[in-house]
Amino acid sequence: MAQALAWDIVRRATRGDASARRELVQATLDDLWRLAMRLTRREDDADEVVQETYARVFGAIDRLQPTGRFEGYLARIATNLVLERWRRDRPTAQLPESLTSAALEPWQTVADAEDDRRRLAAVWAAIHELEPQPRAAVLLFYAQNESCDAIGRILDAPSGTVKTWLHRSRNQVRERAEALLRSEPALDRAQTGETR
Amino acid sequence: MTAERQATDEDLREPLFDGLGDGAAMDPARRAALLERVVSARAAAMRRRPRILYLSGGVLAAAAAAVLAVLVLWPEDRVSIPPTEIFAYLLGPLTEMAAAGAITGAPPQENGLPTDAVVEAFWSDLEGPVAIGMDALEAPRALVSVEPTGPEASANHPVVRKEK
Repeated sequence: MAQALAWDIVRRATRGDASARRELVQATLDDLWRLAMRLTRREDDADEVVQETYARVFGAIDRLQPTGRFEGYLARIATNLVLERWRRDRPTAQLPESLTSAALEPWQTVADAEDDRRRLAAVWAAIHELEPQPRAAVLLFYAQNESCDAIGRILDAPSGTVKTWLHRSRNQVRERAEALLRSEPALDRAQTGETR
Repeated sequence: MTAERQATDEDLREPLFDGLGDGAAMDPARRAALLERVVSARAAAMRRRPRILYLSGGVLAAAAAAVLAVLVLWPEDRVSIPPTEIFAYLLGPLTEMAAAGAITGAPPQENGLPTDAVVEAFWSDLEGPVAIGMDALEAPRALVSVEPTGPEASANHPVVRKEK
């Protein structure tokens, strides 16, 4: 139903219906921003990715073919934009504010919360040491709950390749995170983006 | 799924999915602002489009005008002159002069060609210098062909000297 609705809006938008364009953004904005946020973990970065994604979609909206899910098309563009950013910018593994500012749970002590923060930081830093495509696959799989097939469609890779990326990345992240947790200075260096 | 894989999955899923918590939900004010930015950016792009088209059209028209001007003002192709005509132009006066006996001073032979007289006139001027040059070339060979003398000659060891 949502799929039919989305393409119906796209068709109206291609005919120059301004309200349809607004409706198109309204219908897809939340999911798209959530995906961008899962990948970038920074609200400002997610905003930029979303804006750029819509700019690209609107730039080519006359040539869109109504095949598959429109949301999948958006996800593919947004993910590729994030990949471009990862390749272009120096990676920073600093823990996102949304993770560091988490409120203390009633059952947690301050020490527990600090342990959790360090564990998150180690995992996050280890993930940022992955290559862009495996990193995107890990984030889409674990953070966005996408299937291997869906990730393959988004990253334009066979499902088997996605599974390989996940398998290798899982081991790599685990080993690296454990190593970082054993050494506070190494964790600090990893979070500031310094090389090993 | 192995126990290790399951443990790793949980280790990853918790910080990446559960750990994000409400961080993946946009607050309404942010959403409204982003929506307006996206829609207004689209509107601005639509407004800019004709201007971009006009600019592109202007550039194309200028380029077309430049090409037309070059085609119109370009000089006509020069008439190609065959080499025989060039030689005839250069040698024509000489052959006419030779035919009239103006070069050698002798009257033209009855069955001789005018070009023969031209060649003869030039060769007569070149004959002397060419002969001197040939002599000069031969002279060093004469100088270096020295017969061996002294002990080498008696030992039947000819001295070979190189030309310099």
